[in-house]
Amino acid sequence: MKKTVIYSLFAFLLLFAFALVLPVIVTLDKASRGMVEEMEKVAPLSTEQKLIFGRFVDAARDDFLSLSFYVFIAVLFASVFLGRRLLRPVKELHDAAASMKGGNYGMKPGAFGDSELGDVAAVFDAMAVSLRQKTEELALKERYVSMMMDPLWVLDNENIITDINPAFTKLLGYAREDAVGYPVFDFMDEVNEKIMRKQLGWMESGESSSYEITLISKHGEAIPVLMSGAPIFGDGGEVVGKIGIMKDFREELARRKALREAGEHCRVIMDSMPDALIVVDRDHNIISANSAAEEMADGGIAGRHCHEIFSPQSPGRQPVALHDCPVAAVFSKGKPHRAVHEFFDHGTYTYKEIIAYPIKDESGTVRNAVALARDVTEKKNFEREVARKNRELETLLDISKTLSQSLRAEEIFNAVLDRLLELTGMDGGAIYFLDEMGRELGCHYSRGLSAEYVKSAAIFRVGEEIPGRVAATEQIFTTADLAADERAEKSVFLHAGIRACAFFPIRGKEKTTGVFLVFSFSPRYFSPEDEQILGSVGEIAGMAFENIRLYEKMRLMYQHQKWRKGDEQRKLLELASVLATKLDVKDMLDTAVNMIKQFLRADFAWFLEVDSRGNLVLKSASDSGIPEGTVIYEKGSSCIEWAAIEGKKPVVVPDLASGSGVDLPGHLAGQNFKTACSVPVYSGAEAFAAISFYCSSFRQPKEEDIYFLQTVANIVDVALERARLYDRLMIGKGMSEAIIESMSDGIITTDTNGSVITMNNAALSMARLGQDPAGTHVAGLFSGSEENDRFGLLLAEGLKETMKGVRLRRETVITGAEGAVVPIVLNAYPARDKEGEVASAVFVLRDMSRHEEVDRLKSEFLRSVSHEFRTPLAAIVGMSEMILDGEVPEEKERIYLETILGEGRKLSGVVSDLLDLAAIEGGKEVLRMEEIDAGALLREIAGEFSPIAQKKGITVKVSTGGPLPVSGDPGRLKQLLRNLVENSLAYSDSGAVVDLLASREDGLCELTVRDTGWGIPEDDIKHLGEKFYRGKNAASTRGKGLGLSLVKEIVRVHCGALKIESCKGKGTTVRISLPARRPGEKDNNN
Amino acid sequence: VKKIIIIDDEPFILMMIEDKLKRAGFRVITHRESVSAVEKVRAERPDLVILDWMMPEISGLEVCRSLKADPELAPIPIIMLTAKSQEDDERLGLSCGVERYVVKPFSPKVLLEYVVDILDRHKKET
Repeated sequence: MKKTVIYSLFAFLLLFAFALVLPVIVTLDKASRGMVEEMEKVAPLSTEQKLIFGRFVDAARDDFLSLSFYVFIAVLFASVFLGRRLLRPVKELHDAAASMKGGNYGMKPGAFGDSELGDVAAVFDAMAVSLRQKTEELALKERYVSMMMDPLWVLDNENIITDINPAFTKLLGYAREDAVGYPVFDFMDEVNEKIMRKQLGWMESGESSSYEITLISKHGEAIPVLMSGAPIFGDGGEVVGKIGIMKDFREELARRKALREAGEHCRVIMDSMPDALIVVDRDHNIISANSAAEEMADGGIAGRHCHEIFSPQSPGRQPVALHDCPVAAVFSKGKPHRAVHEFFDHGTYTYKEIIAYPIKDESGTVRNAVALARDVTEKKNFEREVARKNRELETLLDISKTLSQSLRAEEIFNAVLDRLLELTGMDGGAIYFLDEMGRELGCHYSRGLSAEYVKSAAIFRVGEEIPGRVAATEQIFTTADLAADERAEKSVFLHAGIRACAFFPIRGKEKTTGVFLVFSFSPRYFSPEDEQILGSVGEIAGMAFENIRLYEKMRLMYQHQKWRKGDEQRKLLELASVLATKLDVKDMLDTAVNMIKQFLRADFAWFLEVDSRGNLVLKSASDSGIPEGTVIYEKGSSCIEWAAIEGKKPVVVPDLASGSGVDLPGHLAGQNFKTACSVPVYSGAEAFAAISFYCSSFRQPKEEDIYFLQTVANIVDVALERARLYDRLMIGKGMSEAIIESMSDGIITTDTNGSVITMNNAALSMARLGQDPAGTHVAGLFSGSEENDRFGLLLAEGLKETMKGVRLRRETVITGAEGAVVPIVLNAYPARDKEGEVASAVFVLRDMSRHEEVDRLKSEFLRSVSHEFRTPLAAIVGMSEMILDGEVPEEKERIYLETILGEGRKLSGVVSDLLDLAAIEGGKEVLRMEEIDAGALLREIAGEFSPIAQKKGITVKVSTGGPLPVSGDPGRLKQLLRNLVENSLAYSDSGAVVDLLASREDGLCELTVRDTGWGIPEDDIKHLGEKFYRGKNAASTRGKGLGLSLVKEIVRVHCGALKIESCKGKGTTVRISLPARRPGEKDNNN
Repeated sequence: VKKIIIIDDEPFILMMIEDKLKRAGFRVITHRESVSAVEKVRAERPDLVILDWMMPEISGLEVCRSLKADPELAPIPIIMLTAKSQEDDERLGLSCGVERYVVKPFSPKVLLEYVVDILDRHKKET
């Protein structure tokens, strides 16, 4: 078709072109020739001109022809283009139709304008759209059906299922193939089949129906459904089938049941309400009511007017205005409304609170109203009462405040009276108080009354006059005008010009304690409220009055308590001080235990201690025959003491008998104790003992008793600790005391007042005191002589200085034994406590006699030496002089010369003794040691001295048991023995015996020189062997005081020992032990 | 003839002084016991006492004090013989009323001079 169109178009155009070109060419040619002819007419044209002109015409014709050719080509292209353009809609239509045929309805042919073809396309388009919509609608419907929540089935006229939806499968469990093709009655029981058949019958007649039916699921479950059934009509209006849509009815049934139950429940609630509840319609007619409302209306409430129920008209009852009706308000405003209705019925007010709520329908219109009526009489009355009380309280509070501000009666009642008058606006008042016996009222405080009047009306007997009556009856008395009141006839109060007055009792908790009076000088009415307030004031005042009394009582009790506390403290102090003086544990415990028993008025008390085996052992008991150390409780017994020790807290058992679980030991079993209490005793953090007390009567030990017991336990603990510490200290103290006592210096310690604390033996002997002067003043220690008195003053000065922390040193003298002057160096030192405070003074008295004695001995020695030298020299010098002077007779010359010689020898002896001593002492002497026979040595010495001894009448004996070797320097040993024998002879009288003995003992050689001479005085023994020292006997003998010094030194250098025993009047024994062998030398004798 | 008592425990000293004084014409009495010295003086009533200090039992100083304490014997001048040479000893001796203090060893000649001198002076005084 396309080609046909194009060809025909081309042919048409070609024809059109020829028709146009040919006339042009012919015309052009004709015109050119005409033009030449014309021009020839004007002017003949040359041939040449004609030729040119001819050429020009030919060229124009050729141009025109070529132009025409180009036009022809253009026409050709234009026809092809136009042809195609004309054919395009046709093609599109064709394509769309083909696409639609393929089932694609989405094709949309283009617009074709207003041409016939456009119309065709439009129609075609509309057709396609409609067809597409239809198809889509159908698919959608199909989807709806499948997506429908509600199950459905489609039946044919034979009631065979032809279709179901997935919801059906879901509800009943049947798959499509299980259901489609089966009669519908297969899915229900017989009963339901009947219903179904009936319904289907109606549908066959063209009606729809909705009905409940129960189907059987695949699992045999009966499922109630609400079935909406409708007939399906054919094109001719005939019924071709039925459709049934089911709604699962199970939930609905359950909901219906719940609703029914809720309704019932609601009803029960409503009925159980004490408040009357009604539902009314717009005409205020009651639709329903709860049982309270029924009761209120005495039954038969339905249909009655709400006013009849809530505000029934009755005689003496005020009607309620309709505008006050809350139900009306609810209907008019559509909001809940509340009103309180007051009824005055037979003299009493009752109140009803009525609350109405609107019940609206879906459109928001108030259809009905619920009205609730509640009796609020009580609440209302209470509110009124509260308001009244508040007012009253404000007044009373004011007064109470005044009352509570002090505990002094006078202050309070004056203030209360003022306050009360101020509050009531009265002119005056008075307070009368009952006496202790409750017989007479006395005026204590008054206002607005003259002193004279008060004096005349100061006392009333109870029962007489108005105040007396008020006190007796405890009833308030008020009068608006006393003058007009017949009860006040002849009352003294009339004289005071009192008009209005109120007497009211001051009521305490139990009894009236007085009467209050307030009055004014003009009449005035007292309202019941006023009376009530005054009554309350009376009560408050009474209470305050009692409080004051109570306070007084408490003050007394407190004082008593304080007293008891003081007593307790005194006791504890006493115990502490008693214990402080005791160091014996048993003694301390006895004291403590007895004090507990006595102070706590207990019948028995004891102190039990845990011993090393964990048993509780008796340490002390108040009074029992139980010996100390008895095991009272074995380890782990159940007793209060164990409980106290283990629990580390006091244990109280007020009733031992009734199942306290406490075992009393055999020792206490017979005593029938009822109450027991025990507290632990600590040593550091450990409880190691318990103190307990027992009572024969039931008693709840008071807190302070336990406290007391604990305090005693603490004191005992401290005391025990102290005793233990004391024991330890004593060892140390014993040592230091021994040191102090052994010192030759006198030591006196005093406290800061100068009272002597200690004095050692040396000090005691210096002061020549026999007994311990502890406590006496240091200044008075020394007495009996001027020196001693001065020394006392010096000690006092020393004390003063030391208290300033200054040391003092003084040299002085005291009078010693037998009046001897004893030089003393006194040193006084302050002794400080650990805080650095001077706590005591220490006086050290050094007896300088010893030092001076040394000095004296030195001089004595010098004197002695000089005597020893000068006396022989005197003889030598004097006699030599006389001989030389020729004054000596011949016969005497020899005696003189012999004397000179003898004295000269003596001199040399002294000199050598001194030199020897110096040499030995200085260690310069070298011993010439050899073995010698001790016996021989003794015999030699004895022989040496026998002439002198004989002369003095003294026997010298030697006894040695055989040869006795001794190692030593023979010269020195002889010197030693000589000195000893010399001494023995010098200090013995005629008839005495000097024994020289030698013996051997334990490798030692003992040489003994024993005499029966004068003996050495005791005082001298200790000084023996000291250089220069000469004993008391020395005065009557000649000696250098060097003998024993020499002996001592010789013994020392021989490594021996010297022992001197002496008894005055009986003799002296000197033993010298010398090693038999020189040290390091072997004992060949054994 | 003046009577002189010599009291000393040393026999040689006694002998020597006795010899010297006797030669000088004095009547001399010797006494060796210090204990009975005062009694002896009281009995003899000498014109002069020569007294040794260092004697056993009772020292010459004590004897001197006793003599001076007796009003009858107090006027008798005393010469003290002594080995003591310290100053305070001398002072002590003199304080006791000793007329002369003669330190051992001494020259018998000098002693005699003292005796004569003292007796002369004493004679003048009385």
